[in-house]
Amino acid sequence: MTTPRDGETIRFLHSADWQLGMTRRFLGDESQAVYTADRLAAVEALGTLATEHGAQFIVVAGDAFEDNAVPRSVVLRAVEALAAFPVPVLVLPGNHDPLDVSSVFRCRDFAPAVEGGGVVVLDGTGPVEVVPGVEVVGVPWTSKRPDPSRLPALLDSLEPTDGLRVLVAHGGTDEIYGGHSPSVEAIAVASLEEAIGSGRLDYVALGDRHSVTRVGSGERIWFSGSPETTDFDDVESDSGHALLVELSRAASPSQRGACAVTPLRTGRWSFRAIDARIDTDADLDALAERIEEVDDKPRTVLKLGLTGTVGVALRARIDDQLETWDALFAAAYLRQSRTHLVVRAEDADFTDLVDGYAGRAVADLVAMAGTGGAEAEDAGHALSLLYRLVDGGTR
Amino acid sequence: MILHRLMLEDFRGVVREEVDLEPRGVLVIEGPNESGKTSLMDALEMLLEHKASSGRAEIKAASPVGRDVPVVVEAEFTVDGQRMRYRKEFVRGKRTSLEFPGSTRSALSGDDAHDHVRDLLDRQVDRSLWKALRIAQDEPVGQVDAAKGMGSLRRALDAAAGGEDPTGDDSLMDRVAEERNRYLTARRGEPTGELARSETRLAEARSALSEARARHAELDAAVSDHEAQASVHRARQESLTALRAEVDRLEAAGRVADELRRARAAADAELDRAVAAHDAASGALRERRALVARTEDEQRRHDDLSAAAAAAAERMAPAQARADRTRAELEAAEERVSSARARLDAVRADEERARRRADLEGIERLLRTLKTLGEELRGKEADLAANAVPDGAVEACRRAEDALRQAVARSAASAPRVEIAGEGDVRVAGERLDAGTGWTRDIVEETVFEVGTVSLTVVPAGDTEAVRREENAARAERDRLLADLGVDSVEEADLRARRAEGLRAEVAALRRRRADLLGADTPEDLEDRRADLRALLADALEPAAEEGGGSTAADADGAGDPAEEAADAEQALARCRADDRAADVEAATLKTEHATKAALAAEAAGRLGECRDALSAAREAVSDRDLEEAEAETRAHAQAAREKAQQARAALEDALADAPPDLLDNARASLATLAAEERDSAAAVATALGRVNAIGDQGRLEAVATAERELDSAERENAALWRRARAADLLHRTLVARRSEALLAYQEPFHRAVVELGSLVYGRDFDVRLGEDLTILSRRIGDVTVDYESLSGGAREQLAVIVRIACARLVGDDGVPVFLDDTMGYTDPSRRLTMGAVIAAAAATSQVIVLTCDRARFAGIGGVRTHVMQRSGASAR
Repeated sequence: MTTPRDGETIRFLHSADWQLGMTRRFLGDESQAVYTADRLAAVEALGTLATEHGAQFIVVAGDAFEDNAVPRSVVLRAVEALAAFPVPVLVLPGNHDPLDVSSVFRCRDFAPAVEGGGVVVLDGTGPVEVVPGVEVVGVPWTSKRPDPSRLPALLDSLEPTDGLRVLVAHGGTDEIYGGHSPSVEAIAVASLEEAIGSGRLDYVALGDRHSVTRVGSGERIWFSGSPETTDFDDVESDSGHALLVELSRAASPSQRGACAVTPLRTGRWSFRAIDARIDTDADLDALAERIEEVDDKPRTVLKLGLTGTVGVALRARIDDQLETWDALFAAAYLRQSRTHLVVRAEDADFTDLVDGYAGRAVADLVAMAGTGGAEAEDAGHALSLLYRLVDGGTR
Repeated sequence: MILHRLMLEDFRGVVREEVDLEPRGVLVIEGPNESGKTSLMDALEMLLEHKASSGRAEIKAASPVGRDVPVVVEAEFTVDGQRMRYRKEFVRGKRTSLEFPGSTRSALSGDDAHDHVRDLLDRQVDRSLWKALRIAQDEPVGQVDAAKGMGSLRRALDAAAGGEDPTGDDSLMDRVAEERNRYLTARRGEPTGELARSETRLAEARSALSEARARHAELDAAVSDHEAQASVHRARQESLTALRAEVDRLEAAGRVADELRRARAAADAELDRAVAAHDAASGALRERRALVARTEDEQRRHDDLSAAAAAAAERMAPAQARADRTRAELEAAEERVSSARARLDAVRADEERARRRADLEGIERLLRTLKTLGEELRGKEADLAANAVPDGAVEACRRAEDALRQAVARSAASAPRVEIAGEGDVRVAGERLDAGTGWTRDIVEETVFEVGTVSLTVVPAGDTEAVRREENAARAERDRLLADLGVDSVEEADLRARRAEGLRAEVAALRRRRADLLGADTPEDLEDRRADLRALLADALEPAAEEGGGSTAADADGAGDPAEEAADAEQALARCRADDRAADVEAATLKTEHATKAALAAEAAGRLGECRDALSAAREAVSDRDLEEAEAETRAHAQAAREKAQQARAALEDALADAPPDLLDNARASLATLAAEERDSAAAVATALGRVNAIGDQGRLEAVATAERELDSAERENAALWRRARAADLLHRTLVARRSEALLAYQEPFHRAVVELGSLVYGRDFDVRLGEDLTILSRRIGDVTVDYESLSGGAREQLAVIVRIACARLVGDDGVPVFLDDTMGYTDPSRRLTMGAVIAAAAATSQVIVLTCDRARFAGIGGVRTHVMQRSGASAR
């Protein structure tokens, strides 16, 4: 391997978890189409960012595709996007797209990307010298089953290098997942840090976690997160980025070169999980104002958890408001597990509308709605229905 | 609504009819069939419901046949306090007019009039009640659905129930039911319409997703299958390689083993030869050693036997001497035993004779005693015979004595008693006695007393004779019994009886004693025995006398008990015999022993000579030393050959253990099988790869994603629909429950009204059970309850009228006229009077119009007005 000049800085982009082909079940057809397009656009943006920031290559730390069985159109569009990249792209097979016999990276449609030399699949056969003096080693997934022996075996085989060496791996770390997730490998952070400390690695590009996450005590192990948001903000805190990594060659053998990592925004979507208490019309107004402030509503999904005690009229307002938001946003819906609206009948709701036995029936339903029992929710809806039927009736 | 007047002209068969009504009370319109009673009701209906211009068939049908004239209907009524005169001319003219008598309001005509009346009726008149309170002639008498749609009744019941507040808004209930029924079937509450479609969509979406996932999983399965096949293939390749190496190794080992097998055969042959040579040498040596040993043995045996023969000869002489001595002792002992036995026999004969003599003396003594006893017994028995008294004879004498005593007493009692006292002499029966001594006696026979010169003759009374005869008979009987016994008095008889008793006891005692002495013997036995003993003693005494006191044999020696002496002599004899036998046996044994030893010694001398000859001959042929050297040499050679053979065998076994020939055969067979399997697995890997490629190109993930989105959408739609369905169902159920509750509250005043009227007909113990809709479910009179459907036509007719009158009374001013068209046809005459009272009860609050062809059916209605219709249509009052 050639050696970079002392003090030279190498820049590259670290990305992962594109999961091209992923769909979100709560999106309607139209929103899903936009989402799909935006996810590909977020990938395409990496090429632009590489140019902007002088990145010499891009590493994708696993799960570039949602599955090996993604539709052909997804593969073709991905190949087209990759062909437009100004720099080489090194792609690691992850647990979603393992390098097994069905691997998407081995299919005919993906072949042009590899054959053109623009894309290198890190198949574990050996280090790749992507630019002179910079070596990339990868630990590909070869099946969907975790194999905890691969990474330690690779680390054991590495010798200290005079150049720069980047490890690309995919899986949870023991620091993040506590080693309890059965579906992913628990990567021992200590072993990575030991390899970095002993000069065998200069940077570790990790994939699997969709949020930007620094790992370990240093600055050289990172999850880049997904380039576009894939889940609600109560699960994914900081997705929609790529990392610009700048590595400097040490000026002398006894010194370590610098490492700087900068997140760059690539995503446009947001998935908002909002919990609110609604007891009065004012509460609903406040929530509406808060939601109104959300930018780019067609690329925002709302998941609302509403609790409180509301009158029949207010409950009807909430339902109307939800219908409006669902039309306005990519999707908006009530999160049943976090929604508990107790409906109470206020004098103004029914007194002028019904009397006699219907009035007593209203009282029954109000009592039922207040119990919190299995029929409480039904009772609330029944009151809303009565409100609608009486109000809209001939009376 | 209050109807004041109704007039019709040229309506069906009616030329003109006009009826005036009071605001309250019962009007009976009477007329024969076809007189047009029902036409009155139909005409009023037509006036209120249809426009004059209407071309409806029923209006055309009202036109009189063959006459081209308008059909005129005119009515005056008050609604909401406003009196109106309303007239329509149908078919011809088609005019409508509405006037307001007593009001300044302008009259209306045409459609304006019609619309005004319709509007007024819609707003102010309870049309349901209007229909319900009319029993038409041609309609079956049914129940009044009093709970449904009858606003007037509801309000009245509400008021009667104490101010309950029914909404009366069944349209709300209808809308709720409609909303519920959009999602759920009315009867079973199962999904319908949109919800049913959503359920289907949801099921299909789930199924589609499941199928898509299964198809997607097929790729994973195919990949796994490929991995598995590849793994199997790799394992087989590795096995094949290993097996080939093993076959090579086994074949090489086989060649080595063949070499070793040949070496082992050569070594075994050499060993066989060496062993044979050693066996021969050692055999010769063994024979020589055996011959030497045998010669030595024979020498020792000969020496031993010669010495033993000499020793036996020495022991023989003293043994013979001892045998002779014991024989002499034995003979002497035998002599002593014979004499002792003779003395013992003599002593035992003496003892036997003495015993017999004693027995004889005893028997003779006993016989003498028996003789004495026999004589005494015979004496006693003779004495007893002389003094014997028959059983009961003494008792009979005693009883005769008592009878005599009693007869004497009676005789004395029946005789006069004479007592003589005073002084002087008295002669009684010729004998003199001194009166001073006193004299008293019963006179039992004629007796003469002489006192001085006076002679008194005392004669006993006549019955004294009978008494005397009894006394004499008793005495004769006693005397006879005493004579039979040979005694003079009862005391003597008694004494004799006691003596006889003593003699009997003595005789019995003597007999017992004789029996005791005899025991089981008879006197003859004893005499026979005495004779035997005497004979035996006579025989025995003879020789004893001859020997001159032979019984003293034991005394002759004076040495003690001859039995003990005999026993001692016997013991001494036994000892002598044993000694003699022992000495004799010893002497014979020693003699035999000596002869045997002498013979054996002679035989040993012969054998020793033979051995010595054989050994000398053998040594002359080969010396002992040569034989020993040859054996040692061949033994060393055989040992060396054995070790060599063992080494060869061990080497071969080691070689075979490392590579058994069976293993090689098996490995060659396995190699062929494994090679075929390896080819198969290679083909399977290729097939699995083909399947992966085929499935991988089908975009199955997209199908999963599409199915997931469809399912999510279907689930959300379904959940929303179910939410609405549950809400509508709950609302509906709650409203129905509360309405039922309200209806139950209305039931009570209605029930009260019906029972009040029914009691007039059926008595105080009448009652009805009502349903929620206020229909009658059953009627009870006393203890008898009958379902409504099981009631007779008459009873149902009566209840129909009662219910309508009850409704009319409850509604009161708010109501409409009650029309009863030709009812009470099923009601028997006995009930008509009380039913009349029911109808009359409505008179105070309502208008009741009864149409009938039979006035008698309604004769029981008090305070009624009657309007008579003629068949021609001309009316008369």
